[in-house]
This record gives sequence, C-alpha cells and structure tokens, in this order.
Amino acid sequence: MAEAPGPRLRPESARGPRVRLTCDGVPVEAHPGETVAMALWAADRRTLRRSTRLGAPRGVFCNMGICFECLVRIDGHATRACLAEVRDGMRVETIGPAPEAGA
Amino acid sequence: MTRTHAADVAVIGAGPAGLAAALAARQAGAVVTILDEGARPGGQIFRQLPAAFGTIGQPAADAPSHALGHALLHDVEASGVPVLARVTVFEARPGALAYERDGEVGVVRAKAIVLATGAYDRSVPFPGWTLPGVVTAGAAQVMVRGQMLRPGTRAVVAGTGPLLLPTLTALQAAGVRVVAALEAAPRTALLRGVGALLRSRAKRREAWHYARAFLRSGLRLRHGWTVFAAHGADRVAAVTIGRVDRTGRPRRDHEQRLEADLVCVGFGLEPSNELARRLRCTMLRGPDGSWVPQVDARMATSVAGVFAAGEVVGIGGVDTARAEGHLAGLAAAAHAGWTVAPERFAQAEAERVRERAVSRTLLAAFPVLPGLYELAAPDTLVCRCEDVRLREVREAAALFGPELRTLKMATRAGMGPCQGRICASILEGVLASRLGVDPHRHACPAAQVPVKPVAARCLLEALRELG
Ligand SMILES: Cc1cc2nc3c(=O)[nH]c(=O)nc-3n(C[C@H](O)[C@H](O)[C@H](O)COP(=O)(O)OP(=O)(O)OC[C@H]3O[C@@H](n4cnc5c(N)ncnc54)[C@H](O)[C@@H]3O)c2cc1C
Ligand code: FES
Repeated sequence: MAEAPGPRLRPESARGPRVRLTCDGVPVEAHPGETVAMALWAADRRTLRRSTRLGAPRGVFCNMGICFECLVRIDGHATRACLAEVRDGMRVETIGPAPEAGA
Repeated sequence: MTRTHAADVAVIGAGPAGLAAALAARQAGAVVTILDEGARPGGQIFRQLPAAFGTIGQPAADAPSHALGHALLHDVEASGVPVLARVTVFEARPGALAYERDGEVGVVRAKAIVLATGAYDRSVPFPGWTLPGVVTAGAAQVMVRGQMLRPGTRAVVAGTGPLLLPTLTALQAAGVRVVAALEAAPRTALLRGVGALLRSRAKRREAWHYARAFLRSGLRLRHGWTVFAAHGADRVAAVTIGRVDRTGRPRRDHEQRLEADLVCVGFGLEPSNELARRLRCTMLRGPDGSWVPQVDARMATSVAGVFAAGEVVGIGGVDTARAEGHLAGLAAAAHAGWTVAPERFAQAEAERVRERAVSRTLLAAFPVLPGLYELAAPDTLVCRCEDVRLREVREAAALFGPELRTLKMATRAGMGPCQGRICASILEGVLASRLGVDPHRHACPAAQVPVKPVAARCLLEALRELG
C-alpha cells in the first residue's frame, strides 16, 4: 500500500465515479463519499479559511465537527467542510479577510 | 416547515454509547430515535467507510473492539430504530431538542433524552499550532480510517495517553513515515496504564492488538518528549521537538528540528459536554479535571428525563461507553413508562461499575501535565477562533482579574464558533501555569444556544417551535 501513488489509498477506481467541484473557482476532482475537507486535502490544498482578526491561514484541525476551523461557504451556506460530503457541481468558497499586512 | 418527530427516547450520538442505549431502550419497548452529526453511525471508534467507496477494505487491521462495533451497528439496523444522520443538535430542553440539517430545522419531542455525545482531543497550544497541517490525533485517524487517505509523507505525532498508539498504527498502515512519536508523560505512566489494562480482558486484548502493531512497526515512542513548535509560512514544514520534565514543563536542553509535513497532536480527550451544560445538568469535575454531568447509579443526570452515557460522563473507552449506554437506555425507557425487570438493571449496573473502575485507573495514569501549558510563547494563540494571544490573556488578567467570564468579555477568547470547546481548558491551563490561578476556582462555563453555530434563521425557527 505504501507504494500507491497519490494521497488516496488503494486504487482510485475503487472509489466510484469522479465528481467535480470548485474551490474559489478552481476545479477539484473528488469521489462520492469523500468530505469536502478531505477532497481538498487530497488536492494538496491545506488552507480552508483566513482567521478572523489576523487573516492567518487555517485548515482542518479536528476533522470531526468540533473546532469550526474548516468553515467554508458551500453553495452559499457556511458549512464545516469536514462534515459535508462532496457533490458534483458543488461550489466551495473560502471565508475570511485578506492577510493583514505584516501578519 | 419545521420537521417534527415524536419518540419515547431520543439518543444524541451514534457511537458505542448511543447505539447501545438505543438498542436497550428499543428492546424494553420504547420508540427510539438516534441523532448524529456524522454521515454514518458508529461514532469515533466504529468509523465506517462511505458506502460509495465500495469494498476497498480498511487500511489498518481491525482492532478487536471493531467486531463489537459491527455487531452493534448490525443490531441497531435490524431493530429498525431510525438513525437521523448529518444532523447537528444545537438546542435541548427536557423533553425536546432541535437540530439542523442542510439549513433545515427539525424538532424531536421525547419523554427521555440520552446524551451520548462522546469526546474529542484535548489541545495544548505551542508556537505554530494553528498552521495548516497541524491536526489533532483524532483528525489523522479520521483521514486514514474514515477516508482512506495518506495524510502526509513525514509525520510527527505528539501528545499523551493510550490513544497515541492507534494514531501511530493508522499512520503507519497508510504509508506515512512517522519521524517522531512523542509521549509527554514519563515511562512510569505507561507502566501504571498497563496495570489498569491488565484488569480488563477486553482492554487487554485491545491493548495487545495495538502494542503488537506498534512493536512490529519498529517505531520508538520517546517518553518525556513533546513538540515545542511548528514552523512554516502557510503550512507546516518543520517542527522543533524537545524534552519535558515530569510535570510537562519544557526543558530547553535537547531541542531538535525535524522536517515534517504533518503534525498530529492529542493530549488526552475532553468530553463533548455542551448539551449537558445547556440542559443545566449539575456538572462535576472528572478525575482529569474536565466537566462532566453528574449521573446516578442508572445514568440519570440531575435533570429529570435526561440521561448521559459514554465519554461525555468521563473518558473511558469503548467498553465503558457500551456498558453505560446499555444502562442509560434501560433507564430512559423506564422513565418513558416501559417496564424493565430489576435483574436487568442489576446486571447492567454491575457491568457499568466494573468498566468505569478500569477506565478511572487508566485515566489517572495519564493526567494532564500542567507544565505543558508553558510551551506557548507570548504571541501564541490560545483561542483559535478569535485570534487571541497568550499575551493578551495575561494583560487582561492583570487588569481585570483571572475570572474566566471576565477574560472572555475582555479578550473575546471562547466567544467564537467553537464556543470554548478547544480553548476553555487551555485558558484554565495557562492561567494555572503562568499566573498560579487554581483551576478549581473556575465554575463550569454556561452553554449558550445554539451550542453549535447555525444560521440565525434556523435558531429563530427552533426557538419559536420549542417555545
Ligand atoms: C479519534 C478517536 C479515536 C479513538 N480511538 C479509540 C480506541 O482505539 N479505543 C478506545 O477504547 N477508545 C478510543 N477512543 C475513545 C472513544 O471516544 C471511545 O472509545 C468511544 O468512541 C466512545 O463512545 P461514545 O459513544 O461515548 O462517543 P463517540 O464514539 O465519540 O460518539 C459520539 C457521537 O456523538 C455525536 N455528536 C456529538 N455532539 C453532537 C451534536 N450536538 N449533534 C449531533 N451529534 C452529536 C458525534 O458526531 C459522535 O458520532 C477514540 C476517540 C477518538 C476521538
Ligand atoms: S476541522 Fe474541526 S470542525 Fe472541521
């Protein structure tokens, strides 16, 4: 298993059909059953939002709905990316201020 | 339109405690509904892969407890008890609760409520802990066991307690190179923990399973070490690790820098107690200092019709959760008017007492090391949601005194979407280690509605419906 390329373990073909979502307009491929957070993680995207006051990068922390660090807007609704599963055509947008100068 | 359901017993949480509670209540005759935020029942330990993944198999060999989980899940399915999945319960009153699902509100009216909301990793702040790529030990387990991902290439795992082992074995099975496995507690804690494990056959088997996987892995657990800092611009690229003394206080004499793209941290578990607090259950400090609802010999909280079981009444592991869930389910059914034979109660009570005793010993072996709260630097964030630095908390404490409520108002620490789930214990920890404030002077923080954030529209609708 350690030899398998890419972050998805075992053949990707076993995961069912591909779905496509976009994150801030960038297309991301995923598989049904994956959470939005993990589809983005597998696509090597770690930052899911910018923090309220400092605009610092934040991403998945607890991965189980506790911390709200993965809060994104999915088709317009603020949602925890670690609990939401991907759907074809889903629109994910990240939330938060631009980085503070010098922060 | 608000969706409303009626039941004798509503069970919040579909982990081993909730599943066992639902089954016991159903078998006693009660009409039961289970609610859980997750996509599938199972809770933290019996994590099921998404059905869409097909039969690709689990990456890590199943622990003995997982067979128990499959049996529970199967029995619940066969019992016909509905599991409302992907629902977040954000308000509860005796007799009723409200949940949100995809922006819609639902209300469940039930004669009895069982809180089986589980637990999550306790965090200790250190410089860089908010960088993407620094995740909880639980998060890493979900990545591997729940989503079949290899979460990184070079990982550092740090924390304390028996849950580091399943995290390490999951990462190894996924092909992640663990460059350091760091247990903050001294080796003697491990020996005391083993002593506790030997008293329970199920735990012995479980521990042996992980110990064997760990020994085969060739990894070495470094006792008395932890992560001092995570470094990187917008994601973790390296860490500094170092030694801590017996109280967890960092010793700066052995620091090492390692490259890593994944850092997994877990300093024990904390109970998900927000609904118990919201229901105004009498709360007590457990042996590890966390706030848990007080329960009687049959898992009844101080609020009539509200029961609690599993990790939410004290960290205890899967067997305790199942035993307590079973007992709480019987008690909830009895409260709803169903007859439960006294000998069934007696048996369930005895089993619960036995399991809790083992957990208590295990918990006592890995106390929260107070010195670890000295890892944070003045600029380190202690509240992630509101970006509050340690320095700001100290300044506010100097001005207004060390009361948690005052500090919250002054700094906004604990006012963000996690509502103190991550930072409440951190604030207590840093106040104690930095300012010598006795944690026991703090009262249990009240929980506001919604206990997990929902759209204002959903909140209003629920409050209207619940009256
Ligand atoms: C990542 C992780 C790994 C663990 N591994 C082990 C292990 O290997 N061995 C062991 O003995 N123990 C392990 N534990 C401890 C473990 O928590 C228990 O053994 C067991 O899962 C506890 O069962 P429970 O039913 O009390 O809680 P859980 O299994 O945690 O279930 C609680 C459920 O409640 C739901 N919930 C909580 N709040 C709400 C809400 N407001 N609305 C809706 N649903 C809600 C959650 O989604 C969750 O599914 C682990 C814990 C964690 C966090
Ligand atoms: S990562 Fe914590 S809520 Fe999603």
